[in-house]
Amino acid sequence: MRLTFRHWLSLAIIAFYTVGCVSLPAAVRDQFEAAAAADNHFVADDAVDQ
Amino acid sequence: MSKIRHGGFLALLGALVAGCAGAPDLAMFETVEWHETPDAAVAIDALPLRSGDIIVTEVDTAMSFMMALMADRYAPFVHAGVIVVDDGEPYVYDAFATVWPLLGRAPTRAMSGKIRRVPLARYLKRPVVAAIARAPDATRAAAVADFARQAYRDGLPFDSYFALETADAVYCTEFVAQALSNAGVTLPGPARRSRNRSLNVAFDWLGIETSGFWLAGDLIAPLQPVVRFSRTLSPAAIDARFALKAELHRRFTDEQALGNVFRWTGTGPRIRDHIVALYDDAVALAAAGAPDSAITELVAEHLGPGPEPTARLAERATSAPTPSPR
Repeated sequence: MRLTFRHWLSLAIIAFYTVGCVSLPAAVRDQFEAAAAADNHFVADDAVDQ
Repeated sequence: MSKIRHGGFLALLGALVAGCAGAPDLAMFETVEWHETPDAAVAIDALPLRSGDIIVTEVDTAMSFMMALMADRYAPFVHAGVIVVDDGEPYVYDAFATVWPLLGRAPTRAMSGKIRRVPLARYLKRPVVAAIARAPDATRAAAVADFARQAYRDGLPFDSYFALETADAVYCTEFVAQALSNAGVTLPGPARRSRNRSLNVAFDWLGIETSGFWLAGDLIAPLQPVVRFSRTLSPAAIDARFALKAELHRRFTDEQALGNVFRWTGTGPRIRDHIVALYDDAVALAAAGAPDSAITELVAEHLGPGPEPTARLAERATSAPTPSPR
């Protein structure tokens, strides 16, 4: 099969995401959820941006 | 636009930039804050440098803010190197790593590097703040420089796991700590690893078992300050930046979640928008000449009262960290 430009583009996109993305385990990803305001020393009220 | 760039692991650790030689052009800096020039300095394009001087830097990334939370106490700056004048040109010798394709692995498993040598002018292109400090005498400074040159010749590898007391690999601040200790300079010692529960989940994933970290600011604490640079920040704004990071560290007690400060973007951590806004406001206030009390009020307004000032101290253990197994 002859590789076309679209094939190369698809491979490049796959390679970019393979190289560029850090796959976090769920336990680590969970740590990046903000706590409620009562347990959060970094908000003045309930306005936690998600 | 925010003054904090949001680089991920790759942006922080994988930057390889085109080079240029020579000393930096001081006209490019917003702040060049001189201290009393020490003796025996060698002027290079108006920079009174000496081989064996120590340079510490602060970068403008989310990872810089995360690194400020990794130990049980805070010290400014996140990276360190040794200045060596080779053939009349100033270079920085530092421990540096690149992240290679991850393929689902933790970044620490995909990092490799060693001691590198970078022209000072190129080295100063990236940091938002840099400071240079000097060993107490020429003999010890020469020993620091010799240590750096030898480590460079030996290709001493980068320690991706930040383990203490390992002679076969070093990370950036550990390399400088070894150079200074080898030259007979007494340092404060490494800070204990944070006991924050959330941060330690990330440490476990990264395979970081160390009991402590060398902090860049501690490395220059016993030295004579020479100069402080910033391309973008005034001296007051530099102080505000470090004061704000210290306040974030004070609030990041053991039960605080990383997510209270950062969110995950898929390629790396990003500082939450309301904290970026606070940072921008604090730097602007400081640049306008506001007193420290105004910044303190601003932080309380944005982030609430936070923990009692003694809460953080009560969490700290008093003993020094012990070397961790590899």
